[in-house]
Amino acid sequence: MTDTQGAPAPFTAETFQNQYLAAGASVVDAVVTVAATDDTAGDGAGAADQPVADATPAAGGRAEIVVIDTSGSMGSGRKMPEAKAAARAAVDTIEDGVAFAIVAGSHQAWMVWPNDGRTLAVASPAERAGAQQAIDALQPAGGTAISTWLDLARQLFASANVAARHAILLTDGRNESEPGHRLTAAIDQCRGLFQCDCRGVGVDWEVEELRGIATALLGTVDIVADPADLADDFRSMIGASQARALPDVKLRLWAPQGATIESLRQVAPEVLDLTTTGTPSGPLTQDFLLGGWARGESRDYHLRIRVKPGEVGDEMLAGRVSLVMADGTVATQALVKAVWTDDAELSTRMDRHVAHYTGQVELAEAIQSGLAAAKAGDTKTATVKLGRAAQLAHESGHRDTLKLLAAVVDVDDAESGTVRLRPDAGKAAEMTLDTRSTRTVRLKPDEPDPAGGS
Amino acid sequence: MATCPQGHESATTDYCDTCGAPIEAPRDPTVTLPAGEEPEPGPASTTCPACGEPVRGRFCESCGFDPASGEAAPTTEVTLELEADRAHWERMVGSGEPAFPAALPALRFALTGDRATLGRVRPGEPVEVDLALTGAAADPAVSHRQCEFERQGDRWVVRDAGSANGTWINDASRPLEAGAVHPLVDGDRIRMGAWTCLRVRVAAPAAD
Repeated sequence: MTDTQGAPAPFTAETFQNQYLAAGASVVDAVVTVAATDDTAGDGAGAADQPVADATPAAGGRAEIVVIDTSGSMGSGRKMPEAKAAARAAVDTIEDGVAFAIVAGSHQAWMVWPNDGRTLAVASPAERAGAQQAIDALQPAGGTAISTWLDLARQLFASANVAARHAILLTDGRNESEPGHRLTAAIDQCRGLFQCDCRGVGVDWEVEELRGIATALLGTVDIVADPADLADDFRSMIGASQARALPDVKLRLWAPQGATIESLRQVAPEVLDLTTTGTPSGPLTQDFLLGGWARGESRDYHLRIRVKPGEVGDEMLAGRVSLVMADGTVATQALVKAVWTDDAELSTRMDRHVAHYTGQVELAEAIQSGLAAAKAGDTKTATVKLGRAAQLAHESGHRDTLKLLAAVVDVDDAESGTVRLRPDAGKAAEMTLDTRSTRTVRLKPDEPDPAGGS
Repeated sequence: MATCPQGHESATTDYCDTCGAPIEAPRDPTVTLPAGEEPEPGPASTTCPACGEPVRGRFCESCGFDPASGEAAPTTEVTLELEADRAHWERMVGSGEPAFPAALPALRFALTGDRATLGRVRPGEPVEVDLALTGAAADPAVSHRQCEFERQGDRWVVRDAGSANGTWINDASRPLEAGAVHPLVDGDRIRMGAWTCLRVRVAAPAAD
């Protein structure tokens, strides 16, 4: 797996594509699989990959912030007590030495812990106990202005010199106490400064709103329909964050002069459109933030580059994907090529990875537009879209999504995409399907090539 | 620093970091054929001793004579008629290239002997299949070795020969699996490439 002596490369990358283009064609598609090397035998400090990088001793360390909605609506049902239990569980899971804070949010945000003027506490038994007492004392009141929550979290993170910064944001309602542009601006200011997992409890929050925050801040979004499940969820989010040993990884994409990057999407484990998030890092390169990585983790990216069409027989490098570590070193790279041919048998072949993920992205879009149509009362469009979704989920073996779909539509025939909207579908079922629509499945290695090739 | 064929100075030495051109000598100016499709020199073009037409495959395409055995072909039972299939094209291509053909030559293959392979032949290349799609009949998305026909007892079957885009039987939603055979029945449509359809005609052996 490694071709160097000493520490193995922290990342590997592999390209899947059909590099052959017909004369005059200009669009190059490729799927790049990036994997963080599973180096559990190392010293576990995360610095094993930088044997000579002694110039960045402060690069270690992490900070966790838990933001809890304490608006008035949290006072209904079991939401507030379960949210408190979840925050306490999160605090329990934070390892000794990790900087942390608890923030409460309504139409404004304030510090729950530490509450003595410090910005962040350093986890210890005494600090955990103090935080849990303060959490217990929370009372629901006020509106919802999420921009103030993000602003405070950003300022707290900015006060700490740590490599990995992660937040959990829990809300039960819409961002209704401020104009939408305020939230958009706050999200933009947080981009790249911390990762944020978002959770909606109950069914009165907006999937699009939380997805917007989670997507921009490289976190996950999910519904917790039953507040009793919150504590487990918080525990696993903090656990996953602490497992990310490789912070602030960037994908650097080079494309030749005259080329355009049409799209760059993460397509596994879930769909995340990165196209507009790049920042120029050179005359022909853009950097895309990927956040932190756990060892052994792997993600797939689908990129589409438009190049100047070449002559038959020409070969060209259409893209160079590099993985850049927090200290600026390039961990690995993958090449995307274009070769022009007059052999249509070669150029019309579609790479099975590209085909598979094109289907998975269409699946997510079909679910989202189908649910939007259902919400707007357009039963016909909703039935067609959700039928197409059932068909795509069936074809790709996406059992989880098929199961979630079956709670919203009666699937008469998944193969042909024949479904009927269920009049009894609950709001929680629709929101669960919507929230998880972006989760994808990988191509099964033994699946026959849909194009019938060998 | 390397210099690419276009004259750009490049920090990367594999491909130019400005235009992407390969910096070492271009690997292969012509497209590399996938393994197993290396063209072999085919049999020299001959003239059918029976009817005088040029013979490029094993059998004379005009009369079915088998020059190798020197015998007239057995009574024709199965013929394949070339058609352009709009529905298949919609599924495989939909729009753009390869375009749906405006006109097609009338082409009919008779299945003779025990076995026949079918594929597309590019102009100027040796014919290595028994049933060759050439010229206007050469759907560019048909493989050079597309499918094989085999006599099994008193019937003929078709199987895919590892083609790139599959061999589709009638209205099947998937191409034939590798190794799977389909027994030919009168009226079958065998679809392949971007628009090619072979209509199967099975005639009872003529009593002569």
